[in-house]
Amino acid sequence: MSPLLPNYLRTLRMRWGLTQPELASLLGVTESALSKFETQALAPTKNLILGIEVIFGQTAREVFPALYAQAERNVMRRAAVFSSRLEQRRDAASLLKRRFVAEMIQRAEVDNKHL
Amino acid sequence: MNARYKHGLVLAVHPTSRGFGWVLFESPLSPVDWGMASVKAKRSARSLARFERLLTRYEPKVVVFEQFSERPARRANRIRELCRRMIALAGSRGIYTPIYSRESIRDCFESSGAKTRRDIALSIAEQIEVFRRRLPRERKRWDSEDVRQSLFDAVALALTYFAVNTRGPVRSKI
Repeated sequence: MSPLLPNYLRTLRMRWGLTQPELASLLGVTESALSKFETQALAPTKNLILGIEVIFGQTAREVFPALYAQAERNVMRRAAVFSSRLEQRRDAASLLKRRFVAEMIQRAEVDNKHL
Repeated sequence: MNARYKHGLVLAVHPTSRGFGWVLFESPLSPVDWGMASVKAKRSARSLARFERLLTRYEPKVVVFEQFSERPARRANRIRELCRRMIALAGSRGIYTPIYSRESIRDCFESSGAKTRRDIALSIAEQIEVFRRRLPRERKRWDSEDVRQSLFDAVALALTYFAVNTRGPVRSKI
């Protein structure tokens, strides 16, 4: 799946021939709530995101690319602040943390290269 | 954006006397949503409203239509007018609206041996698993057309668009 749609809930459901009542019952939500999740009238809850991963075996990143991108942007912004705070420090723990943050930022850049 | 998704979202619609079939692709052979909009009264106005909702919801880059006004296309006046209004609406949003003749669609599926709309539907069902269970049963002379045929007509249009703009004809054998 590509990140062209904000979420792929409806695509996955239809791909497997599931009706809204069927998927809603698997997720433990009402039909109305599922419909709202599909059309993004309602933001997905953590139970929905985890339930979808259990049911379809696809990660939150694949099913909710817009939500993931937003979370990633927020984390990257905080990572930049965190990294700049570590810049002055030369102790081993700070060097390890800087490497960790650099790797995290690099991973995000590689993952988003195709966009 | 990489080559696979260079087209953006591609919507194909096929209006009929009872509504329209539609399908949304994000790349060749990768449909993300589809359906059949069924309308009973005020058919043109309601079809156009449903079409507008699809444009608003998915913001496609391309909307593909079948040739409706020039020969040998034989569409009812209402359908022709509806297609014109749909194209005008899509155009007003800056969406590219290619139109393919039935001949172009047949050419696209020629290598799979498909000649009739039924053959093309079978070819599509073979290539894209999600449409297999939607395949209408073979039409007898006394049957009216199954509404699901419009979905396959829309899929054929989208695949023709990808074939013309990317990699040549659709290849699988029926």
